[in-house]
Amino acid sequence: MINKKRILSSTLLLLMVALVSFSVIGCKKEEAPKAAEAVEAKVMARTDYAGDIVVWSFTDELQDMIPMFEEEYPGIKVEFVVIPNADEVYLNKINTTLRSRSATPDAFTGEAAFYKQFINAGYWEPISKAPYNAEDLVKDLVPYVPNSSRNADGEITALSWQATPGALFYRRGLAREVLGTDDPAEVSKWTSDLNKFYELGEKVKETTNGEKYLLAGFSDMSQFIFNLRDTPYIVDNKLVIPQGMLDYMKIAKDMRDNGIESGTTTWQPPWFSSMKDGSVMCYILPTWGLHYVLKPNAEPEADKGEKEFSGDWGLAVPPASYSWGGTWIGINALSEKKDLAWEIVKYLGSDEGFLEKWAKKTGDFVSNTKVIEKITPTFSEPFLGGQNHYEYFAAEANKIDVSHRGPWDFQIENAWGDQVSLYASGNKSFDDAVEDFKKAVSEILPDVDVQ
Amino acid sequence: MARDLFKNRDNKGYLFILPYFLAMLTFQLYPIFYTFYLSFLKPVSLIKNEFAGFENYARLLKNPLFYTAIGNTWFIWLMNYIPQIVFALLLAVILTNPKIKGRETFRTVYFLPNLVTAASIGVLFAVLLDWRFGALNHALIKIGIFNEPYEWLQDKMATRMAVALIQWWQWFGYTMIIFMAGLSGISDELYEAAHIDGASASQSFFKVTLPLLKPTMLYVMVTSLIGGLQIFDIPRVLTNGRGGPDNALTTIVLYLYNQGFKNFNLGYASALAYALFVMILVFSAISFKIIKTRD
Repeated sequence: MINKKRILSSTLLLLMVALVSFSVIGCKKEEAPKAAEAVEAKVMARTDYAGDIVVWSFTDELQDMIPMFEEEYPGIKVEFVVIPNADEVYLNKINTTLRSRSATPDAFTGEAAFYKQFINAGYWEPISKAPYNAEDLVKDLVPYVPNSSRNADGEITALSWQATPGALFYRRGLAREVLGTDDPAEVSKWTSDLNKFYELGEKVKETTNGEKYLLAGFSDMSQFIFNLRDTPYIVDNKLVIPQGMLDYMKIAKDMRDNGIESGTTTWQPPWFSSMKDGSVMCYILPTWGLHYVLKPNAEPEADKGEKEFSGDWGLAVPPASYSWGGTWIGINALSEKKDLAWEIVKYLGSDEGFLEKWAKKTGDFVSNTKVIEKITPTFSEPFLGGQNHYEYFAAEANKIDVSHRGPWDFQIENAWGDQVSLYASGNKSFDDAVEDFKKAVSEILPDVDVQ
Repeated sequence: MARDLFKNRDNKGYLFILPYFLAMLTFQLYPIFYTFYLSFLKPVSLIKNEFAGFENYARLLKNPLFYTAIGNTWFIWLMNYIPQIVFALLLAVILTNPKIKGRETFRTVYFLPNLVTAASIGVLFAVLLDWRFGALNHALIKIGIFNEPYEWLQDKMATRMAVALIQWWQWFGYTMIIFMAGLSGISDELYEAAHIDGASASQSFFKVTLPLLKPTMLYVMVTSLIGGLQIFDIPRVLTNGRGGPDNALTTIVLYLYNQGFKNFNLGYASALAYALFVMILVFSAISFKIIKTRD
């Protein structure tokens, strides 16, 4: 009997000790992963590299890129895992993985909404110096793309195959009805200035007896409004609300009250279906928005390469330059195969041959300026009635300034959007909306002074 | 050593129960302690934390949103629990009566909503309640009750009531089945005896059925309370995860989730988890007490 008791208690004791030491180990883990010691640079041919690497991403775009990489690097086998970021699943997966100091994945992607947090935390290996020397690549890249991935020490941490300047897409048929022309240059005269843009909205309403709208929802304008600011949201630990955002709140209400936008919210099901039913004239979307949002939703057959599509779309200049989204790829700072991971980051983020093929295959706007220069003159997009969207994006890409972007912008901008909706729908006064926005920010960043 | 330990036949039993205890310690007890430890930290970056003492708890108690979240959670729970239990009991009594035709069909139909995932229901209602294109507004305008579309999801009370309605609709079938199980456990002899003593139908319901259903009631009450205090998925899907309009749907768990997995303040989220834990503990104890003293 005594024996039994002793065994039981000693087993429990053992487990408790294990438990406690477990939590102590847990505490010690809370340091940022350190950059690896420099590996000696060697000149190697692409065929010399050999090994298996694991790449994680929240988007399946890479699905078609990886075979192209493997063709160039026959020795490298890439295991590709897609973890969609709906409900922040991807972000949390990366977080828990890196907190547990896992060397898997060897490379992973980050999106404009959250990659600044990765950089702050040191999840991505800095690649400016040897053996990577990413600085040598910079001269051929659209400047903001590598620059916006720089960490606190000024080092580049990730590259991207795309640059994401924004545009405005419009229905040519509706433009002819309202303006008597569908010429992009003529339409741009109406869309490139915010006041004229509003006037155009009133024209659309009058011409169609209020049955059609300028925009699907005022929230579509938020991307260029957010890009207009000349200051970060947090300066010296204080919240700054740019004037442009206050103006946007008022315009949003005017648009809602006057029936200039149709009342949907970006990314909601009615927003997608409005692309198909022809009730809305303009969508404010960036490069990827054309291929991954507008095409498949507006005319599904256009995306399959079939010829029945109408070409009833055009590209015009939005009221302000902006960039929206973008996917970067970097090396896991803890990876044991950094040399191989760097090859795929470099290949996807800078290789001219690859980027040219990719641009021609998908129409996506790439990040390498040499490739952009090379293919721009010959580009023509049937979906846009034969218009050369590359030419426009090439000019816009250089105007992008993302130096004010911070790690918490996505959350802050969402909180602003919520208040804009409440004000525009008449449920709240302007001052209350601003006050409640401040409260929302203090929930996101409790230590920031919001007054 | 281990071999010697388990050589004795009497001790071998421990070997068989060991996996359960290992799993329990790793996945239940350890997280409980670790959460407690986390609740004293605050984030510096995604990966770095610093010790903050009782700062998270202090922030929690001073924060009006915390009390709003508690209020929302209780409001939504009460608004769906009261009609739910009334409906479930009524239907359970009706559907256990052998004279009712098609009982099985009704049971299945009422239980069906419980099988649909909360996420799909949330999406469904978000579409139904959409102010410009939702079916509800279209119907109301067509009938002539409304002149113009109403923004349901921008109205605090309307969204809360919508969630309560969804919860009610989703769960009364389940509660009904539990009650039916409880009812079938009551011996027919008691009803016969009551009948012979001249009890009316309502008398036998209030004097026989209800008192004997008490254990079932207790079970429903406690599980529903625990579930209700943890309500999360419907408010999340219906409001794009942000608990809008103006935190009308920010329940305690949604608040916890957003703090932990959107704002990455795991320390504060852990403090919230402990507050919720204490609350559930207290109210479970109270509900046990109430039902017990009445026995």
